[in-house]
Amino acid sequence: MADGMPLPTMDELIEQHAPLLYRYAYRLTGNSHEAEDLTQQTYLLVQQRGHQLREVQALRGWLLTIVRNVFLKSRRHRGRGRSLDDIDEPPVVEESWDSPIDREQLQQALLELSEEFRSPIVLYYFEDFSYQQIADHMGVPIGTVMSRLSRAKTFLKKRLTADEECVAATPVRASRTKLLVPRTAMSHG
Amino acid sequence: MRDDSTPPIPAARSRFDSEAALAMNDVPLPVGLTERLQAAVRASSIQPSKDAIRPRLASRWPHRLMLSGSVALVLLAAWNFLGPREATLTEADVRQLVELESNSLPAAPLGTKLVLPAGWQSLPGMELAEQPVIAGDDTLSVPVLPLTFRANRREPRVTGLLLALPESRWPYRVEATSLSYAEVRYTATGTWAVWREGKTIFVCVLRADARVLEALQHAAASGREVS
Repeated sequence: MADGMPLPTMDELIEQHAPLLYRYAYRLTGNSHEAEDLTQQTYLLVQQRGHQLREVQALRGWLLTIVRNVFLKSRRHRGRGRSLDDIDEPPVVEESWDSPIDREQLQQALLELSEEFRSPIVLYYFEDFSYQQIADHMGVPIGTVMSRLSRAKTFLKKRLTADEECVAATPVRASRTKLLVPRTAMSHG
Repeated sequence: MRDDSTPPIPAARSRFDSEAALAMNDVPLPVGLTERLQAAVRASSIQPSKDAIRPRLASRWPHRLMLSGSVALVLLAAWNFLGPREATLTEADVRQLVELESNSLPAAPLGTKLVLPAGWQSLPGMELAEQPVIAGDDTLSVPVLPLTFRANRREPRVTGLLLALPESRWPYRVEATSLSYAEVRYTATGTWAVWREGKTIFVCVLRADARVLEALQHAAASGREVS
């Protein structure tokens, strides 16, 4: 142990970190059963690879990295989702935002993003993850994280605004309309 | 607390950020999640769960690393220079395999591939390791593929091993032509089944009771998750 702190038992690891790992897994998959399966696979891997951990302080990041790796492995043969790399970085424009965000719409929007944009935006809004921690987790430079976050936030804002407008315009069939919106709302200028 | 590398967020955006943070963290946890995870971890562990990872992390890992390294070197040398032994496996060997902890076994030489049973590439609930490991001793070594299987969403994931052998290495008569028709056999801590597909004999061992192996048989037969 490099940092001299006692390492937790498996039961403690589950009690202390399972909620965070499950939430991350849920935001990545958008499905509660898949999220639980992902969380379970993560702990089975932790059980096998516990010896690879060197510092207790790095524990949370290490666990999240395993969740992400298991997720990426499970999605290896599936579609990648929407990458925003081909879009110019949006300028910082002051816009007002005065309504609560619908949880379901947020998840739908997240699932439209490719993982390289979804992971940083999820972690950014989780608890107290810094840009540097996200960069370490993703294995990319901090500048890349900032760029991806900026693009992903702009996408989410547009996407959620589009849903908001659509829902307001068609209140009776709002839930059905929401499902139809993404194809048109995703087009960026 | 974000670190110093975090640039200030414009005031007009911070409202969106706070709303997004609220929504992002609002994920209801399934009832009994912690208990199911702890049960899954215990079920997959041969060691008592109270040991957890502490002993492996703290004082034993260098010794285990050296020991596993030595064992791996000896086995790899035997594999590379003497070639794999063509001795036949016995049912007693298989019963011992159930007791093995796959993560303590040395990896098979690069390029070693295990033939998979038909349909196992996408068997519901099944996760296969990418690389086989070597089980056995100085008189017998056999590549085996570690696996985990989950019968359904309410059950914990269990661990196991898959063997694929030429029929010359299995001295018993095998009638079953698929896992679905194979007889479930028992050991002290697990179950196993053997079947043939063409000239290949497959042996699947699970560190679980017969119910889980039967669920795997059902999944192999139907290609669907068992409810």
